[in-house]
Amino acid sequence: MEMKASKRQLLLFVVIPLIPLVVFWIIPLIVSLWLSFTDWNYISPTFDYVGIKNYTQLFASQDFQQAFAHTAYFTFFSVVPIIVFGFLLAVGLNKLKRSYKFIQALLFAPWVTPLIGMSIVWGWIFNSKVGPINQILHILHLPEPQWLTNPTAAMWTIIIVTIWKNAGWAALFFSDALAKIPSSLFEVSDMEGLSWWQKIWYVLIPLVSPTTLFLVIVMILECLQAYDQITVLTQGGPAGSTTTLLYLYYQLGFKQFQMGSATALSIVILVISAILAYISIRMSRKHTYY
Amino acid sequence: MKKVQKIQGWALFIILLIIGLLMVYPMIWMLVSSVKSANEILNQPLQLIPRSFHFDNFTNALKAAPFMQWLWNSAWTTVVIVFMQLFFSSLIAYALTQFKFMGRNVLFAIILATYMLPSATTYIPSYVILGKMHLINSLIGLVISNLANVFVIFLLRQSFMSVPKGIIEAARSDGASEWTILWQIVVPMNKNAVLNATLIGFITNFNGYLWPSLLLNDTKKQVISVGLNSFSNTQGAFDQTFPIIMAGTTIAVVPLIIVYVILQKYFVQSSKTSSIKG
Amino acid sequence: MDLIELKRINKQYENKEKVIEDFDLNIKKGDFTVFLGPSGCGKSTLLRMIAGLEKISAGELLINGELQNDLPPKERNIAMVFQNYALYPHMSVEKNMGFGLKMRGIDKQIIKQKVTDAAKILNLTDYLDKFPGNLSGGQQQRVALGRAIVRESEIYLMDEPLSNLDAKLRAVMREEIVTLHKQMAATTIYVTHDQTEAMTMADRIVILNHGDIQQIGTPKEVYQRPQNMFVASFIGIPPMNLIPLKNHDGKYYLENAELSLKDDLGNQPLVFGIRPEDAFVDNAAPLKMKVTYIEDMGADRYVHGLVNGTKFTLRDGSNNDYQVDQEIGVGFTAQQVSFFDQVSTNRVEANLWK
Repeated sequence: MEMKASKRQLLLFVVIPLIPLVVFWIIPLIVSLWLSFTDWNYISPTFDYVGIKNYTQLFASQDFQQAFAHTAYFTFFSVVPIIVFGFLLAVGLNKLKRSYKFIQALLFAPWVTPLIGMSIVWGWIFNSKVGPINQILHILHLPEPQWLTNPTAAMWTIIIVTIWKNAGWAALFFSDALAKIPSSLFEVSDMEGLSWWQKIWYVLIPLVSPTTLFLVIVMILECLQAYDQITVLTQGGPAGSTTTLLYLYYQLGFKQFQMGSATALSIVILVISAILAYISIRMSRKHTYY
Repeated sequence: MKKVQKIQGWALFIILLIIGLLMVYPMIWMLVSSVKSANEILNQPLQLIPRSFHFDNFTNALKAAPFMQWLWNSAWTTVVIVFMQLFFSSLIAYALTQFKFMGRNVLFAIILATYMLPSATTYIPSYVILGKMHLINSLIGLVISNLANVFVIFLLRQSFMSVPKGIIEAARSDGASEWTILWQIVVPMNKNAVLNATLIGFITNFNGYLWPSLLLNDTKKQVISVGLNSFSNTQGAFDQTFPIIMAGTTIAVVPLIIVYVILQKYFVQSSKTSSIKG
Repeated sequence: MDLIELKRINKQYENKEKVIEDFDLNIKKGDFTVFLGPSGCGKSTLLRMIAGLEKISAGELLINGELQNDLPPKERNIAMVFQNYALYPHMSVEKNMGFGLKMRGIDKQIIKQKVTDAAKILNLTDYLDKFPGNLSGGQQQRVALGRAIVRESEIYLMDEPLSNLDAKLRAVMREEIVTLHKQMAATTIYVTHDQTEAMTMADRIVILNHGDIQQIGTPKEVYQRPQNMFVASFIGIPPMNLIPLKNHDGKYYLENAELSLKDDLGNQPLVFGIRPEDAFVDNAAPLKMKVTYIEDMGADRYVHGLVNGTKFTLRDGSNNDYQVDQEIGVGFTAQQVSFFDQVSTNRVEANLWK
């Protein structure tokens, strides 16, 4: 039986602990929505309502369209390798009999270390003159890209760092999901004569699909909010080629003080996230077998 | 047949070990570079064992910027934030699982909805609110604006749900107050979830960058991530300053590596907990 | 030639003691054989070696006279039913049942026909579109059986298939499996630790303990003529009463009463065995028991007690009242008595005069 709470208990257990949530989450979300219909510039005390002008301007602006395209590109080419690489690593890890905790710890380390610090290190690793990557490419007589100054290469630098940070983390989830598959299912597939790739295709992949879905959604959200590696490595450049929606939001809000446009953009990011969250909840209901 | 399997096993182990080592290569390279001379880095960046050890890189970095102050700022704000988040979240999670009250389902729906939303949406209004409280450029402001964590509420709520009703009822019939039941029975029973929330909270707050970088201006008041980045920017991307930047980065990263090595098995375990879904 | 021949089979896991040593057994075509034994007796290991899921450390496994040791499971033409059903959670009942055929490249139409037929036999027709997660335990086990049936294998292996079901459903499924076996006329090896399943289903029971065969026989044989004290105490609920006999001057005494044996056994030390249903209350009898506990089963009662400190149980169909601590006399049917050697624990063929 749940207990009906008294007023005093509600105050202590619900109302007081909720104050920070309301003040720094709920109210700001509402205020953001409200500000996105104004032309406030942070400095002046007055502002006007401009209706949906911030949104129409935003959607029409080249900056937004480019940032949207960059975000989609960045997200797609980060998430797909993270999932594929994470899955393969997990299959490998689960086949190992010994020492697998140690390797797990190595794979997981990038997720723990601060991304700001590690991005600074990566910046030097990718340095086109003295960085070890181009040194190795030089030894191998391969082309040496201008990693941080060429627009396409710069985006891929960001993508590689993002994959590096998250692949091991994804592998942990897959490894857990794989370990939970009852061994009798593999024995049945042995008896039914499945080859190893049939086992992966018909048994492994379908059975980890709830985990895959979860990871895809979480990783998309992670990419939508990626900031640290961009600000250290490229600061959105060169020529805006690594400016994602979130980075554009930062520039609009905290560099140009166009609070109306910035909040409108943040609402757009929020709506994208909300749609993804909704899809994930719907799909995980449909795809959970056990 | 057995031999083939053994060879395959070893090959797999070696491949995975190499991938694992590649994953930590940036950390190793950072540590190595932090004790090299600028010339050695420029001439032999691939060399993993320095010819001579230049520990003065560290003293120079510590002279150039208040790294210890920044680490301290990060440490104490993180500890306070994580502790307060756990405190508030435990109360809410307990109410959500053990009390009947009006709006309980609505409250949970709101928490579930905010769980996946980008925190960036709250930054501008939160900044204004902190401004009204005169807490811009203040570590107290950083702490206060981070007191709510929907993820922790969610994690604890999922875990608290598994506490058998009978235990709570037995405690109530023994005359324990709800406060006592929460802190002396429910929280100890869910120590795994609490530990997980602590570790994840520690990582995210200690490594956090964007929000503190907006909030804090004074050099003395920076947290380590923000301080480190501005230090690295002011040194400039000149080859000669490279060792001192690596030394500074090492100072910022090594505390986490140490914590990770000590608590490694808990980290691996707790990261997975964040997959628990409603 | 028998369908399955196990010759001096050994199983040993790396650096561990042998689980199974020099195991010999022949199984005839069409037989329903049950491997019965307590957990850890090696019965599942044997089954999994026949299936090809475990390597045979030494010895030979022949099916139809052909050596199977190094054949992978899929080439042995064997279907297996697992304790936890092992259904693919992401496939419908129909897909689960047809999957093995699909992997063998059988024509879709034929698969559909076979699955429909099997579903009819197992009453699964209405569930073909459902997923395993939405079925009850009994239904899931039927799907697992169906999956085995459609393969039309020569040999069916079942590893404790009913142990996850509740008691009532187990009784229903026992009957279904036996009926199914008769219909299919396929050779079946069934592993269980539940003697009721063994007694009700088997043509032949193989009783195992610590990897060794204790007895092979029909349910009736193992019940009435247990070959050693392990079988005597393992089969039967409650188990057979066992009381060591005393021996003075070539005569055997059950407590104070002399037993007159037809056969001359010299001075071989013996244990006397009698099933609870072959013992009865007879206050004139010299054998006395102190009642400790009365278990009323509805149809009849088990009276538990101590005969000079040794536990003894008898079945009583009368309406008499017994009190705890009461002393009663115990009689028994002379034809139903078993004897065992005290040292080797093996059965000794001997009969009483009366």
